[in-house]
Order: sequence, then C-alpha cells, then structure tokens
Amino acid sequence: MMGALRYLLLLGLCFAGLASAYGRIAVIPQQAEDTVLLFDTDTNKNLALLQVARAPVGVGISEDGKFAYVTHPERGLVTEIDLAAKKISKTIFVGGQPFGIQLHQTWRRMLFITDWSRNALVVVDAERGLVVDLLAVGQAPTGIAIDPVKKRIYTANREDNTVSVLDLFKPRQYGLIETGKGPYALALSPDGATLLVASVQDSTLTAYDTDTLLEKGRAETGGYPYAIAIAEDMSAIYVSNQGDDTISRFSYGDLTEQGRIAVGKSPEAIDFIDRDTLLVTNWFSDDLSIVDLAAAKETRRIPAGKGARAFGRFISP
Amino acid sequence: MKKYVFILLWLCQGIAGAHGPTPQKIEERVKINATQEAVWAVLGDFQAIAAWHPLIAGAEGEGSQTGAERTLRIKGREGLIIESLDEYEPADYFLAYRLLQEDINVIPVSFYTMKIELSAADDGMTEVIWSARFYRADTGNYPPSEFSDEAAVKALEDFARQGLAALKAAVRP
Repeated sequence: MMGALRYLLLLGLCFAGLASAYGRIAVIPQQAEDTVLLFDTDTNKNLALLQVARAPVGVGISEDGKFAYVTHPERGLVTEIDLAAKKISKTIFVGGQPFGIQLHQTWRRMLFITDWSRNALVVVDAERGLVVDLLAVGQAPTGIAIDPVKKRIYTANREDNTVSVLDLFKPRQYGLIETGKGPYALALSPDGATLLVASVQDSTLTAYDTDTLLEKGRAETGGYPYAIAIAEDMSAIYVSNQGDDTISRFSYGDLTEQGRIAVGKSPEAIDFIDRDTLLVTNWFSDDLSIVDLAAAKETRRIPAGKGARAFGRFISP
Repeated sequence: MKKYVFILLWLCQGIAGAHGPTPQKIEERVKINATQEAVWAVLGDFQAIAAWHPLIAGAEGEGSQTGAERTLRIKGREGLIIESLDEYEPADYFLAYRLLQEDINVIPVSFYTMKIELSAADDGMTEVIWSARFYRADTGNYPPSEFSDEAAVKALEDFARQGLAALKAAVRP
C-alpha cells in the first residue's frame, strides 16, 4: 500500500515536472488584429505573437500543456498551436461558427466545440484534424464544460436560456437546464458537484447541482458577466463584469458577493496564474490586468494587442 | 430574382440572431468649455436626445431611471429602434444603455451597448467620452457590405461624432 502511494506521489511529481517544463503560458487571441499572443505568466513577458486566421476568440489547452487550440467563428476554423515550439502546427476546418472549446483526452486528443450558428456541438479528432461528429444542442451555444468523472458535456445556449447536458461518450442528450437570460459562460467546480452559469442578459450567476440538475443558488453580478473562475480549493468564485469594468468575488458556498475589483475596460476572460493571482484580458482597453486576490486589487496593467479577448481557460497547466 | 435574394437575406438575419461572436468598438471624445453640471443638464435627460442630436427625428418614452426605454426615429430612415437604460449615475455624470429592439435598416447593427461619461479635464473643461460595443447587422459569416463590420463601425462612429459636436454646441457654458 505504502509502495503504491509512493509510486503515485512520484508519478505526480513527474507530471508536475512535465507541465512546468513548458512554462505557464497564457494564450490570448487578439480578435481585432488576427493574432494570438503567447504570454509568459512567470515573467510577465511576451513570448511570441502569432499571425492567425481572422478573428480568433475561444481557447482550449491540452492537459499536458503541449497544444493550444483557438477558434475562429468568422472563418469556421480552429488553429492548433504547438506551445513548446510557439508555432502554428495545424489548421482545422470545422465549418459554422466555432466559439467555445474544451479538450478531452481519450485514446485520441478530442476537441469539443460549440457552434454558434449551427446550434451544434462539433466533435473533432485533433490528431487527424477531422470533424467526427456534429450534435444538436440549444440555440447559439457559447460556453462549454466537460466533466470527465460523470462523463457529461454542458453547453450554454445563449439564445434560448438553457444549458444542454450531453453524454460524453454517447451521442445523446442527457438533460436540459433552464437558466437565466443569455447563459454565456460555464464553469464546473473542481469536485464536479456544481455547475456555475453566468448569464449576460440578466447579469446573474447561478449554481446547479450536477446530480439533480436543479438550481441551488443564484446571485446578481455586475453588468454582462463574461467569465467565471473557481479557486482550486473552492474558497471563492470570480466573475468578470464586462459591462462595468470589474471582477466580482463570490463566496463558494452561498454565492454571497464579497467585493469588486476594478480592472481595465470591458474585462472578458479570467484565469488563475497561481492561487493568489488572476490574469484578465480587457477587450476595450486592449490590455491585461494582473490582480492580487489577497489584496483584492489590480497590481499591474500590461498593454496587449487590439481586441484582446480569450474565451475559456486560457493559461496552460 | 432580386426579391428572393432579399427574402433569403432576411431569413438569414433571423437565424443568425441578434448577437455575434465578434464585437466591434468605437470611442469618440470631445472637450467642451463648460462644467460637468452644464453638460449633464443637456445630456442627463434620457428622453430629450432629439433636442440636441442631429440624427434623431423623434424620441418617445418616460423617465431617466434604470430600465427606462426610449423609442427613436432616425432622420431619413423608416422604422424605429428601442433603447433601454442600464445605468444612470448623475453623481458620476455617467449613463449606459443598450439596444433593446434593433432595425438593421435604421442603423446597421444587431446589438449595441453605449456608455457616455463626463470627466473633468485639468483646464476646467469637460471631456465627453462616448463609447460603444456592438455587432454588425448580419452576424453570419458572409454579410453583404451594407451589413458588414465596416458598415456598422462607420454608422456608429458617425452617430457618436455628430452627437458630440451637437452636444458641444448645445451646452451653455
């Protein structure tokens, strides 16, 4: 038993070593200038600026930190970026308007992509660069979350105020959740027990029990909540309020708002640099904010390219 | 034939929905030689926009509180658009509103949010900052030029510029 435990610990260390070998990289699509900025979150320096297809927005990163995928809704494309080489390694034509993207590794590296205009979830074999399935979901799907333990996929359907719940390995709908108006961003709690939904048209954050699919909490956010980030230790939830240039902090248990932090103009994507620090993309002011969570304030503002956005978790593990 | 193309376009509009995946932005500024109070006296009545904005032919609605709506007629255009007030902060000289009901033949956008704020400049003047986030009229991937990103940017830039110039002229120092 102890031997097995020690082995697991060693294995864990190996993986930790592997991940850090690539460094932690923020992958930032800059939608108005057709570039992707690769930003080193350890040194706060730009690593590379890649010219890509038109209007990149969604980001998904493989668990091993080797590949990032960026969606181009205006062109029906997905760009694969080799993060070690800092180069484009593949362009995949998926059609429609690919928007949100999540990865799931089985025997192959699979991409699950919401298609805004076809009201679909597109399943792509990333290694072969091929669309393998197209599943119906609600209208104008944007946010996506995958629960590998319960084997479920969730999509936020912005135009019909629902979340579709699909089986991960079977092409069927498992359930449907009624949400607030304009559900846009999703986040699953680290233990998989809770699905959080940010709705942009009525500015709410709602929590659902993933066993029963019933609502278990609701809170008002600032204007146009665009992204959700949950602390790994489940101590807090952060939401970017695109409409009023702030990040809200909520308690994890009962969704009580505990304060707002002023950042740049029109903050969109948020992700953790480490447990005490958030990185924010500010779409209107074309810059990035670094937020110290303990001090509850922005500590640095870094210029970025035009229309810096990102949608999804955009910092490599 | 042409008629069918238009019907097809109109159908595509419906399918594409009011919001798209790629927002656009504008920001226009003007400095006015007056206090914030004096500028707000003109700007602050949400229903009085027709009194100073040269492109507005008529505005109907009630109140200047969060949730208030106004129905606008634009000069030289048939059709109406409706806007609703999201934030109204007279103490901060700030207001924000959204397009509630679009008509792409009135303004070629499917959705916008606008913010107008007054900030005190160092020289005792007031700077008016008018910004908007919006989506083109046809949010599908193959918009005709009159419903493209460029058309949307041009229309809202023009709307804000003409509005600011007229606001400047309407303020009494």
